[in-house]
Amino acid sequence: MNYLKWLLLSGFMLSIYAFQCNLECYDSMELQNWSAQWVDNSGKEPQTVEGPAPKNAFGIRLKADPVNQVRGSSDDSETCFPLLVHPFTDISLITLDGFDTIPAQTDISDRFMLRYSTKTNLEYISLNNALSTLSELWEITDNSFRFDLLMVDPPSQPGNYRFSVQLRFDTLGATVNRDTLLILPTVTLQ
Amino acid sequence: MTTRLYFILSLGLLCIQAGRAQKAPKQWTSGLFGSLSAHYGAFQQPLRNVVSPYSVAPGSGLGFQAEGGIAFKNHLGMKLLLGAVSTSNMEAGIEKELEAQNPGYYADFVPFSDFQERRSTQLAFGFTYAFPFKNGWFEPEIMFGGTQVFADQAHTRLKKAGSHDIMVMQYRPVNTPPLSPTLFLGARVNRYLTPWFGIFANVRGMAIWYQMDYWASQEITFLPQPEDIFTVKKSALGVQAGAGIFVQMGKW
Repeated sequence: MNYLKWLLLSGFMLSIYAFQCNLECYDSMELQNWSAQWVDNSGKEPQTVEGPAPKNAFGIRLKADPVNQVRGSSDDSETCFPLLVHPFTDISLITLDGFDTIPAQTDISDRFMLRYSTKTNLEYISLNNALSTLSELWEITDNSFRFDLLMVDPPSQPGNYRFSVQLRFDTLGATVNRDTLLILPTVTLQ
Repeated sequence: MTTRLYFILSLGLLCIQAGRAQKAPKQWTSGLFGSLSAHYGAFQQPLRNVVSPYSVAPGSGLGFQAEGGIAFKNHLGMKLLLGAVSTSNMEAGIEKELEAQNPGYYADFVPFSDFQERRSTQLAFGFTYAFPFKNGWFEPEIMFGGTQVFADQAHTRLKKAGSHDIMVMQYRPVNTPPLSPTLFLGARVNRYLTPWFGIFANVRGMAIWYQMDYWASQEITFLPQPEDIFTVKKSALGVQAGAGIFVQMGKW
């Protein structure tokens, strides 16, 4: 009878352990110190550029520092999904001077897509649908939170253009993940 | 592997003992034969340079064969062969081939399969003729059969240089026969060690005709394009050299 009791107890402990192993874990974090760079997506992977960029392969890389990170697992070797404590609520891109038939100060977010690349997949996601992807499951690279917004519908003519990016979060007045407006310097599109 | 070697050795020793017990002359006699052998083979790799996702076909390496046959008094014989040959996985060449087919694109091949290196089965039936000599015989052969080739679905993507455009392709094998037609031409030299048992060495050339149909779908920057079915038709030559043991199971 004693053996049976121990057997049942061992089975119970084993099932709890197995259940715990299957639970997904999340590393929660917040973001600050946003910055932006131009991206040239002409090659196999997007590269940041300082000078002119090809208009048909132009993009914007947004970058922030993850702060107040809390590990979702006590096991240091376990990889957890990143999770923003205060998720994105809006990402908007605005043309400051206008181009083609678009007037100045117009929201042109629908001309940009989020480049979502994993080891097994590459997708372009519209900014409307990108918010949850960015707020959860977004990989941290070199201890930096960064993503590329590709201009899939560029201006018809080469020239100098100015854009701004508005990032909004569900912050509820927190000091980090603040709503951020980035006014980008003039970029020359070739 | 070890079990197979033990089996072959035990069988050999048994036959030697059986042969020693008898004083029958060691010369070719019509009857039933069975044999086991190991061989080394080398095959051309025509699928390496075409888009044939995850195809796995015979490659260079070790293989094993079992044969059974009957020889008639007029020296003609019939033989059935069951073998396994080493294979080579063709996925490595696909990126280069896709880039060659689509100038101005960077290929990015995404593994979508669990295929591993494995052995390919060969099955064949054919005819032999025996030229007896002292303590053995020489036996040319011609056989027809099939060689197993594997194919699996795959998912590739290509990035267009100078733009954001991406071409995503998916491939899935359809109507691919399990065995590719194969012609075997060879010869072997057999030597009796006892009246019922002996050793042999053989050389065999092969011609394999591969034919695989793939269903292909394509998206260019996530806009679906018309679907397509294409056929990969290639032939390959191969050669095997090996050695083994034979048992004469019946004489008349």
